[in-house]
Amino acid sequence: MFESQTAPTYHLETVEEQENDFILNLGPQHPGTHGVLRVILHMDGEYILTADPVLGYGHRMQEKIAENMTWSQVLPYMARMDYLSALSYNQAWVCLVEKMCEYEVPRRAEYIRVLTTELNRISSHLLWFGAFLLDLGAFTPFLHAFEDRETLLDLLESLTGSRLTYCFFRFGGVGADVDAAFLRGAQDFVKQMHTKLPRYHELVTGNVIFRERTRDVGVILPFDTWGYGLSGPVLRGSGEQYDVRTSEPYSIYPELDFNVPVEQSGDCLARYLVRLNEIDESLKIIEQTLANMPEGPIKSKVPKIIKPPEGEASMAVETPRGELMIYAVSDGGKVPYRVKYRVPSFANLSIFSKMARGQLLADALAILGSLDLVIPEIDR
Amino acid sequence: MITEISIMRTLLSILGITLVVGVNAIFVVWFERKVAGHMQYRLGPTEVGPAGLLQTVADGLKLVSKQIIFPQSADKPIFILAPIICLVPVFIALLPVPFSATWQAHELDMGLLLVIALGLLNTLGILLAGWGCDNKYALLGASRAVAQILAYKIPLLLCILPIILLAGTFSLREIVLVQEQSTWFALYQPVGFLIYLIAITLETNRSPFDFAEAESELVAGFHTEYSGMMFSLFFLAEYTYMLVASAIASILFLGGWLGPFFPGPVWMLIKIYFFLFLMMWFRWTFPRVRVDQMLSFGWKILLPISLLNFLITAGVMAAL
Amino acid sequence: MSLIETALNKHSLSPEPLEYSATGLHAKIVIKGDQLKPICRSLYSAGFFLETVTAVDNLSTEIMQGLWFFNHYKESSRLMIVIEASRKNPVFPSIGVLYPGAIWHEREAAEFFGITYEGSKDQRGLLLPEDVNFHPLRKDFKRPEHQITGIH
Repeated sequence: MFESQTAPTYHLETVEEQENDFILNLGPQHPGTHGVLRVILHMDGEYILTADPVLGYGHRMQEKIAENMTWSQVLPYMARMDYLSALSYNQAWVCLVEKMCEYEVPRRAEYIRVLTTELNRISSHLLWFGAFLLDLGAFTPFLHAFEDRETLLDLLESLTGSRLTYCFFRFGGVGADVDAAFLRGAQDFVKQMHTKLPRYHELVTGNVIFRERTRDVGVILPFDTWGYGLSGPVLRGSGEQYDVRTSEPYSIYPELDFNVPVEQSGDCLARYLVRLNEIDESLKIIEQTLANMPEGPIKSKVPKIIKPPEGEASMAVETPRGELMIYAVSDGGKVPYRVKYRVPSFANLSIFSKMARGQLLADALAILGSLDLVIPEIDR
Repeated sequence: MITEISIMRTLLSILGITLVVGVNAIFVVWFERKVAGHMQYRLGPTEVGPAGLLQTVADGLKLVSKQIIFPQSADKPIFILAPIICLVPVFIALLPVPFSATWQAHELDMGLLLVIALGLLNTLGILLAGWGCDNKYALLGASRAVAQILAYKIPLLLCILPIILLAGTFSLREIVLVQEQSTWFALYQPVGFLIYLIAITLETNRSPFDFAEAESELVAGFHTEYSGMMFSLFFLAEYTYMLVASAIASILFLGGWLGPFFPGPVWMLIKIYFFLFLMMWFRWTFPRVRVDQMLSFGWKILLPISLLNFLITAGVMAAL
Repeated sequence: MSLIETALNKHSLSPEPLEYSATGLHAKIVIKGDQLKPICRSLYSAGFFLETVTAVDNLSTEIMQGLWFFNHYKESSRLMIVIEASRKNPVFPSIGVLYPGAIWHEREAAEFFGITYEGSKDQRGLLLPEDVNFHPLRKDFKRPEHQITGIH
């Protein structure tokens, strides 16, 4: 329908910041940045010459907070970093401490962990789906996605007690056992999503305006990926099949049968397709955990006061946004000596200034949306 | 000759148009929210009045009672003038629009021309708003609106020209009367009809072509700095403009007030709201087109097709 | 032979193997500052991606450990590179030329620990406010008295 096969870009031979450049201060309060991200744009008309993200508006010094808390007190702070995938963060922290202290985790607890984390992953991707289309100017998919997400949040609320900032996993297990109502709800949700996903594809993926807005926009070439340390769907959209769940398997993921969706083109459309296909894969995982849920205890005995032995450890998990790695140093005391969070959005945003150069403002916001950023996670 | 009757008639016309504009705004905003709501698993407004019909009145009262904020660096005269320049032309554009053979504020020989000319002033209002408030987002929005006007106005005019050829008149009322003799012009001009539909979506700055206020890109575009009543003037102008564009569409292509069983004005309203519903449907289902895509679409696709359409119509007319 | 050993072959370094199940790390090497860039060049050409750049402050030993984490997309092989420096005025080489993603990590570590990354193109802070004059993750950091520096 539209003529342009590739997105037009500005020829950047003459980019030097000049005094009378048109400088647009995008954010920290802007509907397109989804949070307190600020980007200073040097522009020539609608074209972006340079983009410089300014971070720190949601900075809380989480790493210092962790140094002043006991190992178990840090757990609730996990949900405050990436509030859209709190359970992945829960899992990273409990797995790290379990690794350091060598705690056992009952099988049923592992199944509940994977089940709830995958539900959380779907809710995160659904929110991204809505928000990304909002960035492209389509309002309706947002509310359709929220309709599905709502059932999911109700379901997780019935189990964990909170809707967003879950603190559900415990060292050596989980906080509560799943009941029949929850399992039935999860089954119903899987059924619901199996009818909804094709409809999303029909309404959005096939839309010609949507395809023209996302195809060949914000291409990440494969040889840029490792220099910037990209991970998650942003990386998998560029053809690299890297997923922590398969490359460094943790919990019961090695026993489960699922694929890691990959797209080759590296543009916004590829990242979109990867995320939508990931919803499908998560549904597969949920079906398997529901079918094979073992009986047994949900929590093993762990000491009240947790004192990991002296040493260091790292734990990586796959959040909906990519690889989260927590590195902790223990001096044998009650509080961590040093905790470092390697968050996926941070690395994924760092490539933005490279991608935005020479793009139109509208495309830059589509790119920003396609990276699936959670700003409190970046700022920590 | 100014007679008492003509003064009365003028006053009644003004009153009638104001009433139409006011009632239309209240109803269309409610209608749009209901349409959007049902497309999004929601109900839309339900609380104020029967089925939430008076919600718009409540919102309007709220907007009127709000403070109007003038940015410090704004160019005040331009800032104040912009919403007025946006609204007044669409008021006047309603003058020659016939709602039936007799229900018409003022019959003009050049009615269609007047409506087209006044339609251009809307963009001037947007440009002034974008320039006057000294906001970069608003300036970008205004520049987009000006860039877009050329891309759709020429195809728009080129698909109105065949209608004028067919009808042989510029008077809106007579265009309908000609259709009464033959049939709806949409059947003679299906291509022109489609292009006109696209062009009026562009003309009224509605999604998928709402670049001038592109929310996720430009915050609120040209009216970023406007608040209270001045904002609602833009809002009123947009919805009245939609009414005018839909009315012209139904007159030019769907035979205006013509139709069986119901009296003329009812048919006119049915057709107008059909077009309004189409525009709402577009808005709530499509993502936004990128500016350069729209420009290349307008220049490279709409313009040649509408030109071809015009030439073929003219050729056939000459041959017959 | 693991990817790490292959990549570090020509540097005549023997990475200290760690038990992966206990630490989550595949290997750890302690090197001198001037070795970092050549090693990173080998790692980059071997396709290792940068996980993070950070540091650990040891108050008792007066040592600032600079840490670099690398991993590989094809095969999980997490490598931790450690460079030790005096915590008085720690200086590490910047790898931002090779790994552009490192610039942000370095900016963050620099303001948190008071580290200088030599040769970095971008020496600005990242997450803290522009006017801070302290390094919060240093172990001798005392919370500054509460003060409002003005409303921005």
